[in-house]
Amino acid sequence: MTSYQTGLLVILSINIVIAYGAYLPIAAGQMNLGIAGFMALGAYASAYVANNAGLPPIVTIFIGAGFAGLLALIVAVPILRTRGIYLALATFALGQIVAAAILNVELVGAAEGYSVLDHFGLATIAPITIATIAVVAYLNRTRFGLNLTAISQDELLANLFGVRTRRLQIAAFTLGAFFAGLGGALHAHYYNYIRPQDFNILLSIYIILFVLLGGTRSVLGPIVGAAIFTFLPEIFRDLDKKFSAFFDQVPDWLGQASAWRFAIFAALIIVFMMLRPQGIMTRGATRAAARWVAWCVRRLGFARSSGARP
Amino acid sequence: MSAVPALKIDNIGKHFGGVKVIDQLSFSVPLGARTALIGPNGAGKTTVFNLVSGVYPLDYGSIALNGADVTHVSQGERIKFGLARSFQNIRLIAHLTALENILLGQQIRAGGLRGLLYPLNVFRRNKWRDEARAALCDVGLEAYGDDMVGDLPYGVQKRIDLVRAELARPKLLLLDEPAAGLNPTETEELQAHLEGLTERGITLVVVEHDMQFINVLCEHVVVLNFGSKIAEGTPEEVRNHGAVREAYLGREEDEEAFSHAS
Repeated sequence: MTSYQTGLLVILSINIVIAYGAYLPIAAGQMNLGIAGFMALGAYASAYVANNAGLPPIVTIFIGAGFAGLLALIVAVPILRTRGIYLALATFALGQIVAAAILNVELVGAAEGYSVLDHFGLATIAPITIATIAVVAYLNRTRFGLNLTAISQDELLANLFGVRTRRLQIAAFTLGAFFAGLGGALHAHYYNYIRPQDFNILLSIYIILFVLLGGTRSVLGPIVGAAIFTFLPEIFRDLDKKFSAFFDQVPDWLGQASAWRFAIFAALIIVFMMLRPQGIMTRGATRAAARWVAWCVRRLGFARSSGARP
Repeated sequence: MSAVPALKIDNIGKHFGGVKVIDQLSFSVPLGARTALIGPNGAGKTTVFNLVSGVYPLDYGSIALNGADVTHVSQGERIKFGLARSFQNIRLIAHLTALENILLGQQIRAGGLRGLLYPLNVFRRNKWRDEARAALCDVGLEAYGDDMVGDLPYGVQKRIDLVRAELARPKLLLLDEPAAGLNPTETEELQAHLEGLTERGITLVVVEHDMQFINVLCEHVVVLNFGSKIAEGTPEEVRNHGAVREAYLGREEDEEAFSHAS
């Protein structure tokens, strides 16, 4: 693997962890637009503790995630009283507050950014991502996951059947913030340098899009969404060279063809959302994918055993 | 008949804006019986269910379940007093399978954090899924267990809605138009099924427009009009009650039309 490919896989791994941070509240019918704020808290807390307390970073990332979860738990009670667009705005404001606060704290470099000493590579980050996927996949197969879906669809009905709707929403919000903080901490230890502006609203919106595009009802949704958002801009990167015959026709006043990749990317997202508003990985799609994998495995096994015959 | 009624509604009232939807209403539901709640459209039948299940708070009055005052108990806690209900417009979770919808009915028995984190779908079998599957089998729906509930036919959804409420193991079950939209065969099956529930000790309150259905099923009828009780008694007594005939038919007397009122 080239270092470029390894780097992409690391970014994908981090994006998946963060995507679950947005996925859990969305599964409970809540939009958290402050994900970047929780990431920032996780990143800075982990970096500071690792730099100063001499704890190994594998421990401090969970301390950072814990801080993000704790903040979520504290603000959940007032913030989750709001609904719909108001909840989105309240969480957006929270994210801005966290970033603005860090911008003023000299202890972690304020606007200049903060150097993180310990480095994580793919070998450390990938297992953490796999563990995160496993935790969410497990939760999806318990009453916790079942009840979150029920709440997101019909809160009153769930409540009448004895589902503790408020508590579960707080739990989903808090656990989501924990994963966002964990992803932020991984980000810090991968890039080894963090700035408050790395954790802006655009990032929060992208992470929400990972989940909405990938699918909100399947544990595979955030993975697929994160993969599309990680790889597609990279695929577009060399498009102007591959299709120079076409891109040479672009008139000069439109500027560099390669600079249009984000516009093309955004247009594709809109098309995707129009064609498949429920997200790419619905539960039906997940089942079909599982059947397909099983079929491939069988085929592979058959091919091997027949190939081994003398 | 037991002295403590399954449900005691004591002089309750509710208004929405300037409209008095329920006005000084009192009645009791005897334990172990099948009671019908009838009345013309807009009489407040579904509102009574919403007040009993705590969806709306009362303006005044009190509600007791099996002798326990639940007037100030929140909607999410009333199920602990043995109350479950179905809905006129079926409220199933469309993005869950039939089986998962039924699993939701068991929620109140599943307990706290351990029940919440118990793996439902990791190992091949567990007691909750087995129980839910058995309940589906009992009503002949085993084939639909893994289908998304939103894709299923109306009659099937209706049965799933009922089974889900039953799996909360309620003492009192409120059914809002359980026979609406069912064909004659399905209606007969429903009747037999509901009689079976009473044999298992569940008290039923049924809101229904199909008088034929009520005549066969219920031994006790409460008639509402404009949010107040206008009559109460056996189906026979209620049928011959002057105020009831007036409420349904105006002043004209027409036995035929009343017995088929829908």
